[in-house]
Amino acid sequence: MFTAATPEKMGAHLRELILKHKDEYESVRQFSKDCLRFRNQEETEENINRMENRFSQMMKGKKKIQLKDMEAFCELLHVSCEEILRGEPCEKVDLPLCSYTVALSNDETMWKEYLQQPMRPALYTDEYGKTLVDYALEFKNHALIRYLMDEGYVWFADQDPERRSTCGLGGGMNVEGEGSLCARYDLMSNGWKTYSLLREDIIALAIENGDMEMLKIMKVSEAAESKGE
Amino acid sequence: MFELANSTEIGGYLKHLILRKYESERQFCRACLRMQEREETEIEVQKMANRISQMIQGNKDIQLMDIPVFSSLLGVSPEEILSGGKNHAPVGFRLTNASVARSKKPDVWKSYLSMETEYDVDEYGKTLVEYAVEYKNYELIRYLVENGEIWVQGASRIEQQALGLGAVFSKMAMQPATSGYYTVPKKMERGYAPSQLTFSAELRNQAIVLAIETGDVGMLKQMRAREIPEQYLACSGWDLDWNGEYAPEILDALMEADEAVLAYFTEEFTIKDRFGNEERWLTPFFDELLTRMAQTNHAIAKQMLHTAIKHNQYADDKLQNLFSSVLDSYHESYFKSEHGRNIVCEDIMRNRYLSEDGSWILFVDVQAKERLTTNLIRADADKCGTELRHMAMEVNEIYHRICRRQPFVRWKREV
Repeated sequence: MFTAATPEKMGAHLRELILKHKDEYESVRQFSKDCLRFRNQEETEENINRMENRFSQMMKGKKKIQLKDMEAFCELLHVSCEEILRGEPCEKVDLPLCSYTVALSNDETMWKEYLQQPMRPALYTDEYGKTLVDYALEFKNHALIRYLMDEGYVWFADQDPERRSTCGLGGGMNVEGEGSLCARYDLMSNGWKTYSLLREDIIALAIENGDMEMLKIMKVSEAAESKGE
Repeated sequence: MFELANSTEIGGYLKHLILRKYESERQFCRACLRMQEREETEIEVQKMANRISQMIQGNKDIQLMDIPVFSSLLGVSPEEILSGGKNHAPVGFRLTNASVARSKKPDVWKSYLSMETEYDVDEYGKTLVEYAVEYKNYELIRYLVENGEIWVQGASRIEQQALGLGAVFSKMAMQPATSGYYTVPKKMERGYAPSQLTFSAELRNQAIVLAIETGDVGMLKQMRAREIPEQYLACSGWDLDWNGEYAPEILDALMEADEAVLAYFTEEFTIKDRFGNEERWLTPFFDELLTRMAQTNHAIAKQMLHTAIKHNQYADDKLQNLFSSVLDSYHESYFKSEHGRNIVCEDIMRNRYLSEDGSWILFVDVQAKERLTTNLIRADADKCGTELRHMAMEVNEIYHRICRRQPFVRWKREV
């Protein structure tokens, strides 16, 4: 768990961050103006003074940062909420690529590298019981799901009628290994039936992103039963 | 960029996150209290449950101070909570087996342990302990040992018998399961957890190397670094597999070790085996260590040769005494004929077992229930300098005497 810093530490870091971006905000007053603009508030003398005073108090640790400030601070100072709360930059460590990071990324090279790793981490649950596909759906990373399908890593709507008769339209992953495509649906114990739940989530994502092609691949207008098998 | 959602949206998303991971809001409240190191009394849980319930309904704003706890427990970034699930910014420092094993901060370790996921494998099939060893985070390993999170010996006799000593054990591996003795991890396994923790000699060896490099004798003692499981299980026909348990890197590390560490590894020690018998042993790779120390003219070589002479002599004396005591139990009539003496001799020698490679000996006095089980030392005299050669030869002389020793039947007949 990261710990929230004291108001003094948070304030001092806020000052550091504003100074760091002096090319954007030459003074606290300028930063106050930009905050008002960000919040669509009027840049009147009175508002600017009030805002500047508040920030000045915060930087001295005499006033706590408020939830409503977070949005502007993160955006204008180009940092995460966590960094503001910690009152210092987040610890950067060199770690192996993990499903969580890959699912948050839009970098195709990173996806490819991860999927081709010899240990096949994409197929296995992490310490939180989730796989790459779980995270991709959780983060609504449509591009990644689409990539997985286009590159043939993930398939849906099986063309094999024999398999379709037992598992509906079905689905699976073509990465070699013994793991699972998606842990959220407990595919290991509930088998193929639960693919329909996974299918529903992916269809919802495709609809949100207006991805007609994906909807066609998923045979959205069809149900396994209509195949008459 | 994230957009701050309103209280109702944040509350609704919070509820979704909580129920995705916890059975109930109440269970989540308990986890929060645990993480904040607050008492889990019914009153505190109720108080927390009321607050969370208000937040979920959107009647109460989430507080800035709640965010670190919520974010860590729910595994999402503050932005994700504050945007009501619309933003998926990565967590700055995400608690995972790998990241925690890299950290040097005890409060990070503590938080992670309170989440009870440290024995679940990640997507690479590794647990926190394995990463800690891989990243040589000795402070963390020490913390885990000192806090009883991992240990090197099962508490009960059945655990010792089943698992021996050859591993780093974890709480997870030791929890009683519904079937069999030990549980399997609650998450999907990669096929070798938790046995990877329970039986991995490699993991234990790596941890030992780290302790040697740090000069932490206390930790080496806790890990029983100079012992192997077979010393507890030794019985005839059971060959002690030294090489299987001791990696060359332990010997390499010992070549650079400080005096206290070397003293620990080269002194005689006592082991109470599974039969309740206490016996004096030397570390199983004593011979090899001695050769390397002698070759490099290390100061400890002379002391090691002294210890080896003393140890072999002890084994020989004990064997003689046991032979005599067994002879006493035979009726006099046996000693009156050559045939009778042969029977006695064969009978006694049947209970003496010298391992195939000659590295350890076992003799059992069945009636008195006394035994000798120990390793025997040989020294490579050719690798020793002039000064040490005669000592090495003495070690070997006693060794060969033990191997040749027979029950002293002639003496018995004359009496």
